[in-house]
Amino acid sequence: MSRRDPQGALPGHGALPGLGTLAMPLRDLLRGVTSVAAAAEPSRLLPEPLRSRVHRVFESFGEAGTQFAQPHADHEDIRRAARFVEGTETEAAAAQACARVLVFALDRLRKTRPESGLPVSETLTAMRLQQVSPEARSDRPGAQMLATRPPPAWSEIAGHGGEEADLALFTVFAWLMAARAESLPAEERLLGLAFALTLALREEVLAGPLDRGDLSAKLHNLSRDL
Amino acid sequence: MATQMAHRDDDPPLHKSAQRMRWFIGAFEDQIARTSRETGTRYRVDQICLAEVFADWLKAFRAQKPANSADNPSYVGFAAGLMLKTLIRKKPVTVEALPEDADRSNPAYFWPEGYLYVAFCLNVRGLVIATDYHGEQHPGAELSDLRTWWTFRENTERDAGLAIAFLDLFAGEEPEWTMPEIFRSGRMRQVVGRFYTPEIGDPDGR
Repeated sequence: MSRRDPQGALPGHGALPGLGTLAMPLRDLLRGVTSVAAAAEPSRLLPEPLRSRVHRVFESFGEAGTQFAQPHADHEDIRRAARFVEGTETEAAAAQACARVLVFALDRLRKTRPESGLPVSETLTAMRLQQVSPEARSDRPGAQMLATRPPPAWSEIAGHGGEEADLALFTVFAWLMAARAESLPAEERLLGLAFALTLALREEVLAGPLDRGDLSAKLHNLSRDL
Repeated sequence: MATQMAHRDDDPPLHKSAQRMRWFIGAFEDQIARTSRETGTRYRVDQICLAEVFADWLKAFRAQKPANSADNPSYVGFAAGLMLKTLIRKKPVTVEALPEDADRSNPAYFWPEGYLYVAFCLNVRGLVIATDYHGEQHPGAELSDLRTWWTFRENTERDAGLAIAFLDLFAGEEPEWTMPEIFRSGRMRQVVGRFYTPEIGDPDGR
């Protein structure tokens, strides 16, 4: 009997299936294990024997594991995520696409600026995004961004007051609200421009209360200038 | 200093597109490629600094944007000057290498970064005037005059705001040397001229 994964793709023989074909919780798990192993190895953060076990798990994935831990999103995912942020598409599949794109985009930003990295579960993000239903549609992007912020404890772990994480999340939502680019590489470039512009305006972005209406207005303004 | 910044008929008005970061970055990169090809100079760009240039320029642009649409054509020249001022102040570009035979008496090699900034601002200015307002830009002879460039560099290093007046000079327009950072609408220029020109320009005052 063939085994079909929850998203409908059949795993291939002799090779691990691509990350995009695994269910969201599995993708979260794989990313979590590989990132913990990567972080623990050089710093010897984990005690023995846990460190050796995690290391063995990580080794068993090898390059394929690292590759599969790379978040993936395609051009249609990005368009769909943009429609979800805008509020023109609101069903669960759109929330999942939005969560996938968020993880993908945050990973891209972390690679250009490591301090902006933040822990994001695709599964939890999709659930939280689905629960967001502001009274005014214009408040939707700000409410979504607030719903996907990492827990306050992250600020202490990261050691930068959570501002870097806020800037990264702000960038991704502003990017999703901007006029769409014509291809995936062009979208990635636009994301980079959004990040540069957010950093250039960081004092204005971080100023004032974290209120959904205020945030939505700031996101709208920055996306318009992109 | 010619450029071929593309603009299709079905695109939004160019002066609107130019207020978007993606257009600005694309046009600036295009200018670097062209200037490098024409002069042999290799440039390096700080992308974060370039984003700051755009953000600073946009704030300055909006702060004085005229309420009367009749002033829009003259505001194009002023906005280009604001861009030159911001580029000179922030310095997002550095020179990696000049060609071996670079002649320092040529403005392109006397101040390669300034030359690139002026080329970019003049080209955008000319393109917007031609595309959106059906006008023409006629750069002045000062554009290739080394003494003007020497003064330009020395003065704008002390006061970047003077870049606005220098760009007018290079564009073949009458520069506003006193308070160049304040935009004067066409109507205001006329009013100022009516009240003050006789006393200043003609002591007998008629």
